[in-house]
Amino acid sequence: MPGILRNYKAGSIIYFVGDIGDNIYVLKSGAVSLIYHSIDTGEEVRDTIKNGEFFGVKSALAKRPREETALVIKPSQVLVLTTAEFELLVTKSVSVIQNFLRVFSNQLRRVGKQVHSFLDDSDTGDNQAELFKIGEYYLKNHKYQQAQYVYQAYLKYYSKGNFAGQAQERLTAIADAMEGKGTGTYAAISKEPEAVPAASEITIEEPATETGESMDIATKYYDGVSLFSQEKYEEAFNLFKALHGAISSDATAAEYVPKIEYEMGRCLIALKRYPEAVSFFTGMIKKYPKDENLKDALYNIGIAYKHQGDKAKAASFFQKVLKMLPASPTDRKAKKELVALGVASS
Amino acid sequence: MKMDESMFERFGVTHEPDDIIFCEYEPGKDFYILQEGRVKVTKIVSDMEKTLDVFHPGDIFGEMAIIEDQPRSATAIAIDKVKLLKLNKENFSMLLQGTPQLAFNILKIFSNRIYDAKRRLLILTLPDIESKVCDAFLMLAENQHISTKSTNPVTFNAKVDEIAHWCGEKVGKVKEVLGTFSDTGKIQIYEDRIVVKNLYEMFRIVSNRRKAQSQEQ
Repeated sequence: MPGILRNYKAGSIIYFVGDIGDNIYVLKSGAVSLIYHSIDTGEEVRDTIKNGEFFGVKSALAKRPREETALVIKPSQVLVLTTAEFELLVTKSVSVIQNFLRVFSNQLRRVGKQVHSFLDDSDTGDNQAELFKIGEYYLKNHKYQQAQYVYQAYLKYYSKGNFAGQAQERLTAIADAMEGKGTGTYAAISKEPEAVPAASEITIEEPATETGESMDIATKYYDGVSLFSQEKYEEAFNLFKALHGAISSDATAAEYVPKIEYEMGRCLIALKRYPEAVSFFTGMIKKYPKDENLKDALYNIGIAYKHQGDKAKAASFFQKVLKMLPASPTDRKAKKELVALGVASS
Repeated sequence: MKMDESMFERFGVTHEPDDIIFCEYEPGKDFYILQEGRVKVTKIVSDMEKTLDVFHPGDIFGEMAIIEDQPRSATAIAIDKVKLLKLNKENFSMLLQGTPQLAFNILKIFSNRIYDAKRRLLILTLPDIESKVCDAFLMLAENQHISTKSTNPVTFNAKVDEIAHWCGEKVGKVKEVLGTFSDTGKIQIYEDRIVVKNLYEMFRIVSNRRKAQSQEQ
């Protein structure tokens, strides 16, 4: 066994939080506590190391400051290894590394969840729309090969997604353009084939066909969402309103109607038009009692009441959110609001 | 890292230069070990593609897919003709048996990732945007091994939306805070970088805020 055996008296410190050190320790006998403050609650936590357990591993491997103070509780014997000695030791036994990997990935998952719980839905965004947007970026910059990959990936994961039609259309355009680039004869989708290389002239807006129209809705809807995220609420609201008017008689676009209405409600809240927002969301819930945004609609009604100073009504809506299944990230937000209102959440 | 031929036969993939290996926001269950060639990792920020890192043979990337069900946080693109081992959670543990060195390298990567994630969490637990913005600069300084007690101007190749990302706040709000900082001479904002005049001042703001917070608790 490599390393040095060291004896510690009770009350001594093996390392302090914030120290930087290359050593990894194994408790042979005695008792050692790891003392640290929890990041989210600030409370002091003490973990007891059992005989045979390693400690100081993560900080030594990452070459970062120790996260905890290692305090000796009872007279102890500790095996001290350098990182290199530790590496030699554990690479002889994969199962030891696998145990560490299990522990570390659990920690990583836990911290990741904590991080996400602090982020609003709007920050994590809509992955489907964001993926499509990456394709748009590459297409705009004439990186067809990359754009092609992204649209194909989009269709692979979201074959019935909001932008599936557009992705398909762009793929056809890209294939044509790439082919054209190769032979120099392709001109069908370029406006002025004589003046500009075909590949640089893919026209994206093609609302001529029937499918073209529904794609147009998706584009506009997405533009509205984008305006909202830029905090241009007035513009976003007007765009959604116009779009709502334009498609309300169009049966093929029916799936967009509740989505658009939900966005309009969000705009009203952002614009501080609370009474309108309440009646808007209430109407939505009546019309589409099974919509995926139902829970968020309830939450938003609560928010609107809160801003109007009606605590009791706000609280009742936040409680409705919590009672409704399945659980979603909105629950946490509702709980937070209830705590802020001084109401217990359960 | 030694990897026998049979490994490549089973898990090997090749890519041509400029091929996307995986794309930001794409769901993904595989991670990769680079065998030959280079791979760059990019992210589109403010409508510009920014290279975050370049990987060389022996490097591992995309490993977060083993842990969490989140979409990719960046895009991986082949620079050269590359050879990769493409692995997932299922064949990962089998692979580890034969390659303890790989297991150890991943252990090191995870150790660093935990530190990074906790550091990010520290920013998010602060009570107000001003101190979050200050702490984001401190974190960026730490990542570049710059002392957070520096009183000389420090340049960060960061844009407003990146700072907003680390703070978990809306870009508009962070822009306002940075505007106030700029008005009071704390920082200078350029198109592609932000210069912080006195990091130590930010360090003090953040540590005072944290002290107040722990006293409340």
